[in-house]
Amino acid sequence: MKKFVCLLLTAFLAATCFSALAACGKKDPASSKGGANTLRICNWEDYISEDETGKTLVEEFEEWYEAETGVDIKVEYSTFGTNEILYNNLKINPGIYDLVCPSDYMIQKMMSENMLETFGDLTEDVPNYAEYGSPYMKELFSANGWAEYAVPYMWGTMGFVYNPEKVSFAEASTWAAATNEKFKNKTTLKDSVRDTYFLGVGLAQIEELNAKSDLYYKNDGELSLEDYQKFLRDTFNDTTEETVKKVEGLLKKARANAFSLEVDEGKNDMATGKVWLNFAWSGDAVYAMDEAEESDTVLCYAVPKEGSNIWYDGWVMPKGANKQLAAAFVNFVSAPENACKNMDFIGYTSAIAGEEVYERIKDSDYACERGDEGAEAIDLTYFFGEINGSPAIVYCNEPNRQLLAQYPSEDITARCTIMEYFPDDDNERINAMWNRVKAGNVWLYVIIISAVVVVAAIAVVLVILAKKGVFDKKVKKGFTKVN
Amino acid sequence: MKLRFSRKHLCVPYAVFLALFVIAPIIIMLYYAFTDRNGAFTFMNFGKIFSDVSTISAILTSLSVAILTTALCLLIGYPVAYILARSGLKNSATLLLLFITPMWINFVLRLNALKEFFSLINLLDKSPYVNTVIGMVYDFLPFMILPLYTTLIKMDNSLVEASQDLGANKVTTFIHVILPLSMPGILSGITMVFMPTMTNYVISDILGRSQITILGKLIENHFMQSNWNMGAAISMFLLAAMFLFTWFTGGFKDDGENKARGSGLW
Repeated sequence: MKKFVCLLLTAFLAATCFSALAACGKKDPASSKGGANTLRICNWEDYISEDETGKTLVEEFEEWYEAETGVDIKVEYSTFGTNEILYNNLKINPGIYDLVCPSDYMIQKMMSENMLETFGDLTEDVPNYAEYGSPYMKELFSANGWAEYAVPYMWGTMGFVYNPEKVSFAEASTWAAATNEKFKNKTTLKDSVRDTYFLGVGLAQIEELNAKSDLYYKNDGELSLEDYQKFLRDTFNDTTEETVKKVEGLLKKARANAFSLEVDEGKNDMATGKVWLNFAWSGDAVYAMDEAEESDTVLCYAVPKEGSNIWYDGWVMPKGANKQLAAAFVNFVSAPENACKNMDFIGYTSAIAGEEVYERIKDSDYACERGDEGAEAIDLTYFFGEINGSPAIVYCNEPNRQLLAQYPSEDITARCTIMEYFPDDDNERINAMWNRVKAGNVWLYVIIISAVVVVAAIAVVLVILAKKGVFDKKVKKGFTKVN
Repeated sequence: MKLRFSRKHLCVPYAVFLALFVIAPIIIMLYYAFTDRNGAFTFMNFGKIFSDVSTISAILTSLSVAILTTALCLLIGYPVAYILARSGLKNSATLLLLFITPMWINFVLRLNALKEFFSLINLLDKSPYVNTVIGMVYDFLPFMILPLYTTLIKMDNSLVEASQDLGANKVTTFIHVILPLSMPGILSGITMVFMPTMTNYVISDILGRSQITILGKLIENHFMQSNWNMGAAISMFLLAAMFLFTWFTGGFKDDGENKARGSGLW
């Protein structure tokens, strides 16, 4: 009886806690929304500048805002680990954030589900972006209809970081690097389904992609940039059963070839020489190259010649956001000065152009002077626009290194396309495919289990036999055994 | 009504804690396990556990890793515990402490150190499966030694002496007396090693370079892919399996303790 009462009590407690929690969940956004002077931001981990004293741009924003307007505001800053986690948070608790920074395909998904507020007039609300934002990014955003909803923060490409002592540029600049048996146990895959699926499609359609890229780079006008881009976008975002099946087979091969599935470890494993080829985002590539330099290892970066991904993370405001403060914050981080700070700290490339950023790139260690040995001119006018009426040229004598990772030439961006969001059903199919790729060889485990069980069974039988005295010495003649 | 404080009330904090942080989450998990993406009731998630290659593979991987680890831990741990407890070594308690101390250092740190060592002796890029098992044995060995040691040191030596007096040789004594008497230790050691190894994916991630997917990892994958329903269903399945396992070994344990008291020896 006592037990029963105890059980009842716990059940009751659980029920009340549960309903209280549910109530909290519902009430929370409304109550915390009350503060017009509170801005709730959710950003990627380690994705904002911090000075030596640990003061972040967020705190600088609070001070700047008070100095500008005299209003004391508070920023509640939190971080997320994956786009999906952020999306789930927003679905379960709509209105908990005023400003978030998801990636390309997630922004499209949120847009399509009508979860976002619009920015309104950018020249008025986010003047820094209107003035200094890269023409290339602006064009990309308005062409796709994202400009109203999102302001880009960081962007980059996807490719391979490679160790030039072991891997040649030609070997690294193709998706086939992932399945190249020459690099068995020396490559890595991303433990992230969207990125790895992209790689898988690159492998699956390699011939067709190659044919098109040859056609485009022949430059005889047979294939326009527009048509080439459309082809890339359709190909890399293809989710038909047939493609997924083909990708599955190839990813299994790539996995067998890979040293590890990773998200973060790859950078260190490259620097210590555990692996020679690391499938990476350009920002991580810059970080890896910088880190490796400290231990006198030279690493390079290559974007697959068959075409790759151009990605961006952008600021968006979920429905019900404090638009005015959110826009002020986006404007603050879009100032060239702050964009530079961010780039220095994170290593990723800001979507902000402008003279200040350009000068910084030109004077950085990644670039060189015009007359230096081996200096090659890289035209970044497409990204920076004209600087004081002349093209934005940067000289560099270390090809395929940090500068290329940070600012791919126009030749490279021509073959890069964006990721689109997949509908739930397609997503589920692709996730299931990736889980199958990650699953091991079932029969191997069956054999191992049976082997251990057989050995254990033999041991048990032996013990039982011993207990029964089978192995005991025979009783000598004339003696009797007493039990 | 008179409210009197009694000893029973001391368990209220625990009951509250239990309800809030154990029972409530399980109820939430149950909800997700029996619903689909749109919140409709379904058994499909459990159906998928036994029809999907990735889940079956993860179950078998976990089982094989856990069985192998437990067997190796027992093989390595029993002699150690036996020597520590029964050979009359001086300072055996200090020696035991040396075996246990590593447990106090955070195991992620230890595993990363082990990873670097593996890389040094060129083992890291070999079989991720073997690496995982070595890592598991390394990490869970103290959990096997400790219960064995406590059982063996408590064992009444006069029983062993009696067996020898009656003419049993060392092997017979071991099989007929010492082994049955140490059964409770063996069983609790097995429980303490087998269950966590089913799900401890930090080890397979660090030493197996994420190339081994055990059940814990699969659950994480589903949550990371925002498939909470499937993740919750596998967790519930695992919970049920664990419960059955504990029940099973727990039943044995009572038996073992009776034996430890001396009954059922002859």
